[in-house]
Amino acid sequence: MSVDFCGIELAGPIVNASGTWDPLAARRAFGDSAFNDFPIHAHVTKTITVAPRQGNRPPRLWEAPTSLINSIGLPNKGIDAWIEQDLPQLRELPVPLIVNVMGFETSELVELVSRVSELEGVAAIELNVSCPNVETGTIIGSDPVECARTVEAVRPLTELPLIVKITPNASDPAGVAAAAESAGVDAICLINTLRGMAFEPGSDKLWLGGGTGGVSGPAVHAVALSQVHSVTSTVSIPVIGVGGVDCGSAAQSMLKAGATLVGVGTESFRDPRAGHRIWAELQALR
Amino acid sequence: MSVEAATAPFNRRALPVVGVSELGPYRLIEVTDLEAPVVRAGQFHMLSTPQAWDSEEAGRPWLSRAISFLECDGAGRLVFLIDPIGPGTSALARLEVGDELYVVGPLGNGFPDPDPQSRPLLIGGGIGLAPVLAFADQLDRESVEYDLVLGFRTADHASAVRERPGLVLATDDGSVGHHGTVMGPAADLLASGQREVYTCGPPRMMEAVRALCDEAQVASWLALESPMACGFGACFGCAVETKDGIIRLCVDGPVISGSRLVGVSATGRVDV
Repeated sequence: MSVDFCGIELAGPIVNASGTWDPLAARRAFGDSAFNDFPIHAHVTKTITVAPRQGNRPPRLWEAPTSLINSIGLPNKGIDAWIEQDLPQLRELPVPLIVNVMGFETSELVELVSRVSELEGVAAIELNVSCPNVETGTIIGSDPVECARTVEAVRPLTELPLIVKITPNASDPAGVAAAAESAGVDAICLINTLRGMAFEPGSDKLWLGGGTGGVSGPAVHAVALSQVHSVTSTVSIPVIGVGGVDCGSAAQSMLKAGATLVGVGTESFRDPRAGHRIWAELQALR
Repeated sequence: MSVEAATAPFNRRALPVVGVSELGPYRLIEVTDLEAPVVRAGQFHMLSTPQAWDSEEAGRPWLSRAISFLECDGAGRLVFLIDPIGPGTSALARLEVGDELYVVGPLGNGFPDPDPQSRPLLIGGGIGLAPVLAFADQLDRESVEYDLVLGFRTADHASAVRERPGLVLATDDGSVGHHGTVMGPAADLLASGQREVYTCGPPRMMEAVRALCDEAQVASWLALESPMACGFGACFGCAVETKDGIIRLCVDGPVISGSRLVGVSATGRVDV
């Protein structure tokens, strides 16, 4: 059963959440079957920035009840090296490629969207706006005005479907989604991780190298459902529902909440073929 | 005869537990893995259990645990040694014959082949003995001679290892073997000829071994540990700082040349 998403045809509704699947590393670990027997219906890349980033200092992970707190810090090789080294391999994927980008100022996002838009083999662009605007200090994705301004700056630069991934750490995610829709995006993706923290055992020091981190996993699923439902009730563009989906019934709940596509993230860490399993379970429920 | 680090079947596989036993304070778990490719000592698997995997305490354990195997004979026998120190390892230690073990792997690189010009010195501490003994078995099969030093807290912990030719034991409390850490016997052996060092153990021990080898200008190979969510490069969580930047331990390790490290971080093994 294929799914139409912003004019892109997908063989099913399961995608990955950005930053939770690396096809090139998976091919090193599992061989070519990790490419050919791809477990999801579209691949969203890890966030790409203009300059290369090392990411946060370790430790980067903490296990909490049915969840994971991560403080990864967007490590990536930067747009130049990604285009040269990774994209040629990612074009071989048997599913559409969605490229996730983030800029620390509008000029960076303008550069990223312009350049990615011209690349062969890219089906859509997802904007990671869970970062502060360096001029105002506001997290772009938490503020309707900032978010609309950002989308307006890049909307004219591409004819590819433009997705905004908004943050759950906002007082009114539906308001941000509505502002992004008015500014011309084609789809909304939510939720990103919820801010969290952990202490080092036997100490009063924060555990994660980045201080705070993002919580993901089944523990956040009910929060995600509520926010996805709120957004799909507000906007008329398609929504990618992400957050704690670990089985077919959780995916079904996302669809009931109005999502067009369902993102699988942390569950893929426990089961590399989780996307495939969740799709099979979802079909059995229908 | 050397073997390449194998790629893993692309699946989380449920393998039957065919044997369990106590080895001192540790638990030995044997599963049958008929799909297992030939592996290198020092590679690891991500382990969890289908049953009761999240019942130790509210909602934990939840992520799989990265564990290096003790034995893998290439014919289906796969053995892990478990030190039940946290919610995940405790759940693994409760497995009984007839249960299933979820396995993703083998993953990572494993120990490299020794330089034929030098005599390998293998140094293991505590639960870190698993990949070190697996490497010793691999060298036995390849008819390569080596020295082996294993350190434990007590004789009870040391009872996990059977007597083998050339084995030097050390215990912190002196209840068996050399009284003290592995570093005394290791330093003596290091000075006795051309050496290459292979090690796994607590971070403090591995840092001491790394520093000793660095000073003696001897090649060292450290099987490191880091909090790890996936084991196959997806999460970017198992970051380890090296002289040339941050690496993902799961796909770029877990075996790292000591020459690439400024030091071994103490945050490798917490709450597993």
